[in-house]
Amino acid sequence: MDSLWLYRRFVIKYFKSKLEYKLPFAMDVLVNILNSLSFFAVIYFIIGKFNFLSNWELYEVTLMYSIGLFSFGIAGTLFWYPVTEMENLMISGQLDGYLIKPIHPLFHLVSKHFGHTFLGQIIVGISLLCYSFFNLDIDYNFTFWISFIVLVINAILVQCAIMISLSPLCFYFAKPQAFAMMVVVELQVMSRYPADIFHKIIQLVMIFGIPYMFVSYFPAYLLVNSDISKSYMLVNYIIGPILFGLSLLFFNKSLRRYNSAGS
Amino acid sequence: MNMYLSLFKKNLRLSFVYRSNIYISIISILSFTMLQYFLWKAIYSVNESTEISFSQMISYILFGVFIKLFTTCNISQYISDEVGKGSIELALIKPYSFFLYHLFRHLSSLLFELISKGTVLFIVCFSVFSEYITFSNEWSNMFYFVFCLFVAVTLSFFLDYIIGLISFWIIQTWQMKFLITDFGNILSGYFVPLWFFPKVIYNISEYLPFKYMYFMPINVILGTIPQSEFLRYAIIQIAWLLLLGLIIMYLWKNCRTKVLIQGG
Repeated sequence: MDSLWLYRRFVIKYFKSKLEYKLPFAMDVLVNILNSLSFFAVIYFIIGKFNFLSNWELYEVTLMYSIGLFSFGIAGTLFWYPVTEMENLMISGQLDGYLIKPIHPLFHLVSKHFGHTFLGQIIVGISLLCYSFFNLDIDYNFTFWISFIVLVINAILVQCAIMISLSPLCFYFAKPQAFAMMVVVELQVMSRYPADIFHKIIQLVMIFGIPYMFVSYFPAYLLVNSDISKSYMLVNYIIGPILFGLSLLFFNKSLRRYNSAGS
Repeated sequence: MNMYLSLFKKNLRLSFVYRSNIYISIISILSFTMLQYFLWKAIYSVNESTEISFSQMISYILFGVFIKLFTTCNISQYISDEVGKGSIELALIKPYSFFLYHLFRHLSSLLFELISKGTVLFIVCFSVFSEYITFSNEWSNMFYFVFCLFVAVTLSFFLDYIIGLISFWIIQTWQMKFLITDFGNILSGYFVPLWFFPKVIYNISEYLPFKYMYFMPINVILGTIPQSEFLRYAIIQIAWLLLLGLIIMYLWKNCRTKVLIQGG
């Protein structure tokens, strides 16, 4: 509870400083809205022209895309800064400042930098979710909503876990920034397409290597196909907390490798 | 001229010193190519598109990889950083042309991209997908392709340079760059070839510069554009070059009075 209060204080301070410059703030959000819409336009045009994308219909793909985008937005508001800045913090030695505070360094990093640019992704994600829900032909009963909420929470946790595990890579390799960007940008975008069009090897990488399949493909599959014949798909309902815990362990372990630098 | 040539060489050498990110960026280009390959394979397995064959589609993607290498430009980032830090002051008082300085910087980084990434991508792409590659072998298409490539490189440089100059007014330009890149990615046919667009958007894209930075060169080399259309397109291309050139001249005339040196 204390940490929630602290987080709130941090975010309020962050917004006060950001809203000092209103136009750049609005631009940040607007640009991200347009960016996410431009990726969606691709899917929209392709399906509008060709009707089918290996048995997936427009609103099902929209659902898949929006779950991926929404979870990415939430995870990004929290963990984007550690991913992009950890390398600089390590090289310049500024990470020291985070280590000596009486709160967990990751929590400090997260609360100090609220990723306001990701509000754009969240807005588009929610609106596309609504758009697909209005048009999908599903029985919206109580179990559906429970299942939906649990799956989305899992998707968010998986996205967070991937970002958390990417951030301390700089303690192991030199210059992992480009790799992290590739994973978060390119692979993430790939994961929002129906994954059954890809080669088996890519699917396996996206399940066991970098688990983006759990973010959008499996949740959408489970929501659209109410009869679940493959019981291993139920892993989806618990994968989030597991991966999140593992990534936190990895982060803590990696942090021990940090040697202070700079002055 | 000698000055710019030595700048060119120095910058090229500098790029080769910091080359750690090449491998990752090659992998990320390849993964985007793969994504497109699988996407279109899935689409073509269900639908038979009448106008465009599958091998033409794959050739489109492969040629696109190289056109994209040619038309990527990061000058605006560099200029807006300089304006933001205030070090633009030094660049403005030095005895060289600001425009030519950035042009040669850009050309050297293009050559670097071509040597470092282009060769690897060429070998990988054209050995894996060799069975699909088709292109027009008529001389007029070849010549017009060279012209189109020149226009594409120049247009992408001009656009980015304009964004860079605008940073004299608004300092941070990454949002604008982002915006133009997003519009460009759609309207240039980078994500989805313009063939498959609704008629309205296709017609709009005819009169915007983005099409000539990506879609046009590829289509000329594929031979999907009738030769009788070449003249009409050439006029649009030259008109855009002139227009952007004029905008650059206008901005350059005004930006020096606007410049605000930050820091101390």
